[in-house]
Amino acid sequence: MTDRCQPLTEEELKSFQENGFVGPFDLYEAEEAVMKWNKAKIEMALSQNKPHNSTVINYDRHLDCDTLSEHIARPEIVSKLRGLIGDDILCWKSNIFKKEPGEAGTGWHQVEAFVVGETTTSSAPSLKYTEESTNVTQELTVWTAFSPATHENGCMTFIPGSHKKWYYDESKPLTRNIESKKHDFFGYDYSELKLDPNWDPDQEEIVEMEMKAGQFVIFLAKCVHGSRPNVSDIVRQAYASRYVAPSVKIYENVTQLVEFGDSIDLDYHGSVLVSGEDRYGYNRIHERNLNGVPFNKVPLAIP
Amino acid sequence: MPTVDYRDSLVELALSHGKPLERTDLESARTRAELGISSLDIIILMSGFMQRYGVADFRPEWVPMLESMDGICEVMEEIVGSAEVGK
Repeated sequence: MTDRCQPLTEEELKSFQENGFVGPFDLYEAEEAVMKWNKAKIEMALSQNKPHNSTVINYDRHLDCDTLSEHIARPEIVSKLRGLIGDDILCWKSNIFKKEPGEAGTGWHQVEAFVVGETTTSSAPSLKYTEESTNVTQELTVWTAFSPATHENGCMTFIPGSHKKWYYDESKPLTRNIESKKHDFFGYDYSELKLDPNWDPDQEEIVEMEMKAGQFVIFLAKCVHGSRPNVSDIVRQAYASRYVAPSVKIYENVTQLVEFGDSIDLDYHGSVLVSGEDRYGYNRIHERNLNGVPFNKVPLAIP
Repeated sequence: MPTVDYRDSLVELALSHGKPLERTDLESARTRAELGISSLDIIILMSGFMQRYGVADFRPEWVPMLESMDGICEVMEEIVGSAEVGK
């Protein structure tokens, strides 16, 4: 087992429970990360098996890009998730987060059931939690930097400890307006969901997660987070892979996503079992990606 | 710098992929973004160029070069060069 595949230490676990995020951790060397992203871009552009045709909704390219298929099941990542979510882990979604020079920061937000956009609702959320868990959590996001992510080019920001309380009501609908500066959450104004309109997240303690290319951070989507604007001339390139325990129902009664002014059908959707077993059978599982390449499952004892 | 001006080839290539470009656009543009071509679409265009020359492997190190007009021409020259080596 390489050092990078070590599980979280007691101290890191404690820090995660206290703050709602932990990292950054080394995954790739910086040059390797940049080259991997270049390779992934070639695969995305030339893919013959795209999960959907939207270029606006950039979800789930781990399903048709071999480089990203391999990335989401890296032992360096999975070994750390196990201490938080348990041995049985599904990767249910991935997103590309590219921030061009001059782009605004991403507004503060907080989710758990992923009621985002215009089709998922509180009665039909993206994620439905079916049971209490003895693990620390049932949902995690891994955000990997494929370029440097700095104060200047738009690193992630967190409000430590904010996962312990709801600051936003994610079940409420959002309005979309790409012209408005207030709509800084990918065209939505997330502050519309604030439970206390007088609460100002910018007055809270804020942690800026600066990262080198090739590092990743693990966080709860319920931990209030956002990102800085890109005031540099360097593109910030990141990729988020999202994980749940198999007891969580994914896109139950959701057949289409309408988000960011575009829509995709979820016919293609399936999750990837990156560790352990699925003892529930609630969700469709892809054992191979859409190119027919088998996904890796990280053995419980990492060699 | 490329020894051959590949701008005409790029205009023709873009047209064949349904992306009309004018030679004058290319004279003034310094970056891919100024041409209004997305970072994924330029890869598709270069892939089309590679097919013409029978070059199979899209090199990851070409991707950042495709951000500038000069870089695009350099990649095109490397593609032509790869084809000649393979002859």
